[in-house]
Amino acid sequence: MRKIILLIVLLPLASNARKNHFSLGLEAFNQFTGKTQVNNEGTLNYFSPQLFIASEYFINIDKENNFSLHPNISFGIPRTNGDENTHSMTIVGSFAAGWTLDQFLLQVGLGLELNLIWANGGTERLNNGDTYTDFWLPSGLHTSRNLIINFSGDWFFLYNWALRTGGYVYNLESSHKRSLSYFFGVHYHFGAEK
Amino acid sequence: MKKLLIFFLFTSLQAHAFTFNNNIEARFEDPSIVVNINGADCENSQLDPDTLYQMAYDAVTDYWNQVPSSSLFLKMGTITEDATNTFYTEPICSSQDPCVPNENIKVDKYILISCNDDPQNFPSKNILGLTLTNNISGGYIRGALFLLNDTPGNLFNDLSRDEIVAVIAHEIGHAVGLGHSPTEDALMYFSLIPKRRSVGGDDIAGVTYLYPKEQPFGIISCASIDTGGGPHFFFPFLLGLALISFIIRKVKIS
Repeated sequence: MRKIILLIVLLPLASNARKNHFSLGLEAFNQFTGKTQVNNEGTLNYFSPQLFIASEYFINIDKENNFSLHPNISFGIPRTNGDENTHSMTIVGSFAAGWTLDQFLLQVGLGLELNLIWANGGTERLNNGDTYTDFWLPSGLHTSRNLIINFSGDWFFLYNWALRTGGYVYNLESSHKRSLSYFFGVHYHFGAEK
Repeated sequence: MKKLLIFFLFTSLQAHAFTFNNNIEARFEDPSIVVNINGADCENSQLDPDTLYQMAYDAVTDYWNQVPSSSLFLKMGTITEDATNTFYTEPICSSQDPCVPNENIKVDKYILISCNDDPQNFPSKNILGLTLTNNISGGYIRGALFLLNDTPGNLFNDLSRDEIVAVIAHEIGHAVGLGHSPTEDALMYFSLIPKRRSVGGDDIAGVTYLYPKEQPFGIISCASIDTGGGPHFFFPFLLGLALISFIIRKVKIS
């Protein structure tokens, strides 16, 4: 009975019949889809990905039913948001449950996304209408933290190689700040033998 | 030509962006900020307070309240009837170079949007608005005043409704502590652009820097200020996942 309950609870979630192993991947990450304007023609960021490096550990918890757990950490390359005087970087840590079905691995879980923003202070001379004005730049590092629901799907096109796509959901409680990021990429699984 | 119209903010004292206008990075202490509208009619711009209120609502809803990584949440307050004529007629600075804020129009605990017809504030019709965080103490903004140019011949009548909303959103950006951005896609760019639909990446970085989202601990206060959302199940979901993991381990051991 307990197994049936577990099956019902975890079936829509994720995992695998492989042994515990580590994977490393390169992903294209599109943050806060449709929330950001990317040019002066009103185009929104439906496809403005940044490079992400993702690492994950695969913990096989139930070989019979192909369930697994997946601690994951991913981070983006520091970027400038168009202003070279300020920098930002995104780091995501998550923990997902997984379910493997043949060549496919489905995952869903929870995580925390950190957005680090920093600059070295000083001033920047900018147009202020008819004149130019020195505006102060931020000095120091500030970090935002967002809880996320993460989900993903992998297709193992070779035994150690998988294509992955998925997303993060933010601020489900807020009708205004609710948002979705998506990613896609490729992962190599080290020592994934059964 | 209209598209190239310059609107600029005369931030003579403390106002910032992804640059700041001062070096103390001042912000509102509480990221839940009320925006009020002065009850005076904007006679030359043909904007009545109710219309201005609706435009300001669109400005906060379509722009600043959309940023997922920021705790900033602007709430529309009321159309105030206190000293309406004073806010409509007085200069924002009692003296210039540097600007000394006019104590008669000091704003307390919120952002006030008002039309104003003082030519000292608006020496050029190209200036659509100016914002001054005219109440700062302890490193925090206590109140900010945003004046719309209502002098005769101002250019608001040449703007579309969406452009006026974008102007209001830009000035509110100054009121919460942001300065100008060098990137054209940013709302805090000094000039109107052909089509404005959302904040830009630099705006998101700036408002996230000043008002970062701090979940999971911040989620309680966030829930209390947003009445438009659904159930708050992050913590129960997290606990549920932990419980499932625990049960799985127990099953595996047994």
